Amino acid sequence: MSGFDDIAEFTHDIETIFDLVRGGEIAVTKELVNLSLSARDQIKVMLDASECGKPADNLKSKGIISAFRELLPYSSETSDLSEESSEEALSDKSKETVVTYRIRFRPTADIFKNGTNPIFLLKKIREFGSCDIIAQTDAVPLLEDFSPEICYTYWDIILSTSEGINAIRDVFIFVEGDCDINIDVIDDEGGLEDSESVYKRLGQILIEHHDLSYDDLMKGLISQKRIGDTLVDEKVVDRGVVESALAEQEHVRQIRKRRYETALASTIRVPAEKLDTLVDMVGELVTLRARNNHHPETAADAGHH
Amino acid sequence: MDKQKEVYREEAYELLAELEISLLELEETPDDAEQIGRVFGHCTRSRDQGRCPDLMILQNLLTT
Repeated sequence: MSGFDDIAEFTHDIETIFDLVRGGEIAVTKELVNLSLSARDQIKVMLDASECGKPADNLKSKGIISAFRELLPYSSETSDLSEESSEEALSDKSKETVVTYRIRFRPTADIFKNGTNPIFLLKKIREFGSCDIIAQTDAVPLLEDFSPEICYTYWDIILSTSEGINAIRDVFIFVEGDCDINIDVIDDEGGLEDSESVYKRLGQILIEHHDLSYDDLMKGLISQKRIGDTLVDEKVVDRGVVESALAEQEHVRQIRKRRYETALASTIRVPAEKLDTLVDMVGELVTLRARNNHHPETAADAGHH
Repeated sequence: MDKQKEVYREEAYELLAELEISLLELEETPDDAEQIGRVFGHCTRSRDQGRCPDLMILQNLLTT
């Protein structure tokens, strides 16, 4: 930005009014002239401010613009305002950064005794964004040993949200002494990896090289035990923990895929020749603008239409 | 770039002086279409002036 954009924006509203005056939609009144003179003074203030590097009084500019907009016919005014607010909303939206967290919420066994229902906390967390919750129930005993006053379950939560970590912690603020909470960031928008960016798998390469048939690959895969199953069979980890890890893997894969697709949709490749043309056109534009300044009335007509 | 800004600033001050004269004349002759066109022209030029330095920056960016 050059520092003159605020002046350009400010003048645009006055220009719109005088375009309507030219079209006979608004009459020249003393009020309009006085307002225009105030605007002229304000532009001078803005110019002076840009020279000193200090910001001009923004409130005064807004006041003058509001007064001008009151002179606009109703439809023009509302369309200008709605355009402005939708732009603001769009810019706010684009500022949001979605981060994926892994949360392990492990209540103490006697959390029910103080009247806490962990499900309400989980529901609150779910409102924050895209969320997978895996209940770890391996510690639930057989019915004869079961006590309804004891909480045997803990939860793994995979949450993608634009809310900050403090907002997540706030959900658990009243049960901090009755649970263990671990919150880790497992994915943020810093990276832009394609979910499929892992290079081809071994079986895929062997098939492409015609060293292995598809049927043989399938036979091999069927007889092969997955790492999760192996670990569960060997009682190294509980089934629920494996499911939680798989859910995390899938969740992050989906989030990255979505982000990658969004980035693809908002990025374009431009051939160098087109950029050269653009450079020429901008050069022409600058030259034309300088030429037009010597003929303001003609320039005004050409510029506006 | 600072020199360019200085040139634009000087032009803008001149333009504001012309705008003031045109507005005062318009107050005397509110139905004068030529005078209205002149004020409109000043506004357009002032707006262009504010935006033009960006074009110069863009041109510099693209060519360096």
